Amino acid sequence: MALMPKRVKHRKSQRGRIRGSASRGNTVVFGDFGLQSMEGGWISAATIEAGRIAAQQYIRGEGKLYIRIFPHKSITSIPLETRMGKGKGEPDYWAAVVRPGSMLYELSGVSEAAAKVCFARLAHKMPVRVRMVKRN
Amino acid sequence: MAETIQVQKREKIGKLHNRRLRVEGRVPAVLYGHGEDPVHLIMPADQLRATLRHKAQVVQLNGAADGQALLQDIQWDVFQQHILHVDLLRVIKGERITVTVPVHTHGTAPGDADGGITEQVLHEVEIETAPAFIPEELRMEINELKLHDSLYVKDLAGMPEGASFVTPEDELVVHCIEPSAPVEVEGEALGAAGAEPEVIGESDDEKAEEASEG
Repeated sequence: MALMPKRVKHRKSQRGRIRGSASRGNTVVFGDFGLQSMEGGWISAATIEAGRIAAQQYIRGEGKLYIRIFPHKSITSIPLETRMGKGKGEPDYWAAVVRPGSMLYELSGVSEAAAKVCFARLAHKMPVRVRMVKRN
Repeated sequence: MAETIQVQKREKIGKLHNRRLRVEGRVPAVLYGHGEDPVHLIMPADQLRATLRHKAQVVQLNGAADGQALLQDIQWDVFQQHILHVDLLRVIKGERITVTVPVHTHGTAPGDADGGITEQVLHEVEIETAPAFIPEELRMEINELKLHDSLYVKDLAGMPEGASFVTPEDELVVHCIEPSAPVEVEGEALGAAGAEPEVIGESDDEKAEEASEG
């Protein structure tokens, strides 16, 4: 089951544009290693969950995984074979808006080699280019 | 012995000139403190990078400004690859300064063998010391850390003589805990298929109306 907000002010949101780089949430804060986005994009709640499962299956309770993003944005879609018009579609899924530099996941309590493998598995699930970073 | 950095006075300030400096491999900086007027400086990026690589926190300035200065703040770009700007704080000989020092764990905790996880909660501490004795790191020996045990700031080794902690001494640094069950996020934050979150300020009539439209 994927993440979604508990309460929202509006059911639907405008698409928006992703401009600039992440000026916050761009450093490793909780763990020892982090997975940083190199591009902007939307990461759906299902993708965040898929990444979490891929990472946790590898670390198997050894380390601790932190998810640094949350899907706040509702994405609407129009059903297939529907004529255009008749207003905005219905909410389809939830997504996190990610800017270049955002820290997506963090990992603690594992060796660097293990973190590298874990993030490589996780990176396959991501729709944006990512890189692994160490705490400064 | 503090690392020496050759600095020049910066006459032109503002982002346009600073961007040009960065392209040329130089970094804009500002020197302030002790009631004196701030001075805008330029320093070579390669010398600054070498200083940071050697984990130095206090530098000896040479050129347009002299004396010792603490690397108070370093601004990096989003991907932590280029230094954008440096804040330098004047340091007078004999004065004690507050610095942030990284904490590293050393050894293997026996608690790990008993099925625990060693988790480092605090990664840096603030200490007050003389500029000449700033340590590169503080060590936390975890060779005797058993399951459910904790180590605190007061247990850190490698403190220089005469230095004192600014961070409270009873603050947790590292502990060995039992691994938690697979993380399941609280029920309400997880959406069942087709579930929708509560809309703030929406009345029951509006909900019924929406349902009939849908």
